[in-house]
Amino acid sequence: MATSEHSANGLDEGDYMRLLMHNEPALRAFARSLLPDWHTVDEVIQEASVTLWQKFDQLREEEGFLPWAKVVVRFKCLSAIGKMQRDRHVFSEGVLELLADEAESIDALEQAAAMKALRSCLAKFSQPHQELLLAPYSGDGQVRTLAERAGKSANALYKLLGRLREKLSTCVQSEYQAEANG
Amino acid sequence: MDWSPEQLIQRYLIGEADAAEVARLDALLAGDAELRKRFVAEAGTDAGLREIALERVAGGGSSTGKIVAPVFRSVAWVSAAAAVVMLGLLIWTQASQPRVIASIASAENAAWESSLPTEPGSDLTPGYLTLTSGIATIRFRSGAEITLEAPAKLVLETPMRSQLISGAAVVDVPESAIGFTLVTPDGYAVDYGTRFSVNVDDASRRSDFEVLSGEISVHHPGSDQEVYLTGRQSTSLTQAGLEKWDGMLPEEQLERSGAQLRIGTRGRSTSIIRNDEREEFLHEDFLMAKQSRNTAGHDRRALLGFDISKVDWSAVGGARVRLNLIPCGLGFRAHLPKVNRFAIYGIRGDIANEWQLGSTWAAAPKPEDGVLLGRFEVPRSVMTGTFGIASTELLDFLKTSTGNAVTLLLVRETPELEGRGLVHAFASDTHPEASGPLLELSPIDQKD
Repeated sequence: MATSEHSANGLDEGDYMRLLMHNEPALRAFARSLLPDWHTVDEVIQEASVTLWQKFDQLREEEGFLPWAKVVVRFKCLSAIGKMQRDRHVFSEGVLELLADEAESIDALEQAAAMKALRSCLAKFSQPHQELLLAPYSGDGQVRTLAERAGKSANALYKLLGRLREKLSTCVQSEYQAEANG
Repeated sequence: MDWSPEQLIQRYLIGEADAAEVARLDALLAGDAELRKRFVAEAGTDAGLREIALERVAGGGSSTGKIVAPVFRSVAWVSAAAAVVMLGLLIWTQASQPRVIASIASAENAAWESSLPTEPGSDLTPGYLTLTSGIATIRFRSGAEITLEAPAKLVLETPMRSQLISGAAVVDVPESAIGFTLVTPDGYAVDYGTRFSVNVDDASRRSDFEVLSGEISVHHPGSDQEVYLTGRQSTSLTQAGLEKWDGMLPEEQLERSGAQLRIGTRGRSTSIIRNDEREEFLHEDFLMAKQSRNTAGHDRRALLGFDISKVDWSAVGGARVRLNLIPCGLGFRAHLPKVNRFAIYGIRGDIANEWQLGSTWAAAPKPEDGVLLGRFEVPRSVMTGTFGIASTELLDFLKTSTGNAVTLLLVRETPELEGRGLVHAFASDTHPEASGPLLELSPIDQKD
């Protein structure tokens, strides 16, 4: 059984847990901007969290956790894409690098503000529309199930979902701006 | 169809974009910094929506980190790297854990300092309780009860685990909560269905345990010492180790005392994974079981080795395998059937001795190599507790095994409904919190 040891940076595994949990949503969002599906995002985050733990003593101070972790996640994402089959719909290498640069610049505060805006915007939608917006994450085929229930074609529901997401996105942008300016 | 850049982004993120659309979006993103900014923001919204979706599936609250963080910080020796890391992923699975782990069963003149509710009958979530005067009984959802005597400080962690920082308590553990762990400053006690008292002196960091009836084991991780106690025996745990105890009874001698004989795996247990990527996906603290829809690389099984060479089978009337279910943080419970069925196979002969701790999938024993000894079921809503089998098949298998050792193979028979389903995990001997697998043999007159 391993025992608790403090590393050179004075941070222990309790600190690691706290930092990882605190920054995990931001890391997941970061990986999502580079990877084509959630399954791969989950795999990459799992792998990265092991690497981060192994290299935790290289972190000099806890303020640097998120940018440091993003470097590791970025590397893992690009490596995961490299292993993907060619028929997968992924972006070109150049675009991935540009997206990674952009996504690296988002800090934890911005991430939290965006999440707050999202919650508030989502609440403005009707219950069935909220359900549809969340359906893609509630299991394979959930959108199709909703379509069957509503007596509509899946295609029609995907179109509606696209429109709802755009509407949601407009709302999040304006709430986020209001928050940033206020 | 001619989609706008915004529409292309949404189609990409919901997985509806075809190859031509992805190529089009790629070209647009390459030349437009403003669009890249939008894309990254939309990916963030996508991540946020998923987080909210998972919260709602779980029916839980909105913030999960708050629940688990204090628990981990308080467990000083949770440091096995991957275990910690996997637990970090609880962000997703923890959302669906029932938050209530205990309630206040009764209180006599109790005065509390706590952020938790302290009225009798109140439901308790993980957190700290300080009893400043009086007596109070906390009943855990597992069935375990702790009666605290003031002044005392207790940390509620899970239905199967609590931490006594200071003060005196009496712990009652029924059958349903066997394996309940009480942590004290320098070690912990695992309760095998019993009543014991414990007194933690804050200043000297000394914990005194006394068994009133039944059996407990007390562990000092710092020195790897452990001691098994039965009726009226006691031990003192300090920073230096297990200092003194009266009539310490080594495990093997329990046989002679007429009580149950408990045989552990003594480190001989391991998980195997179909893709053999042991480093990434297995951990020594967990005995994992997973069955995907179509034999995929992440299927996992566990092997448990027991040395039965010292058993006098003529005196044994019953046998049981006991496993402690613990969360390892991998996968979604919503992707499993409501009830998950596990099978335990018995393997004997050369093959029971030959497998290695780091075994590959191909080299490890398979169900076809053994006999089915029994099945048990775990509802997907349950994340902790004692499970296992007690069957005549198990007893017959053990009694008719001629070698020194037998191997049990644990498999989950029910597949997940969708990818990334929960990986079930049971504690191994090295698990810092829960106790490892046990083979329990009861005397003929106590057959259950």
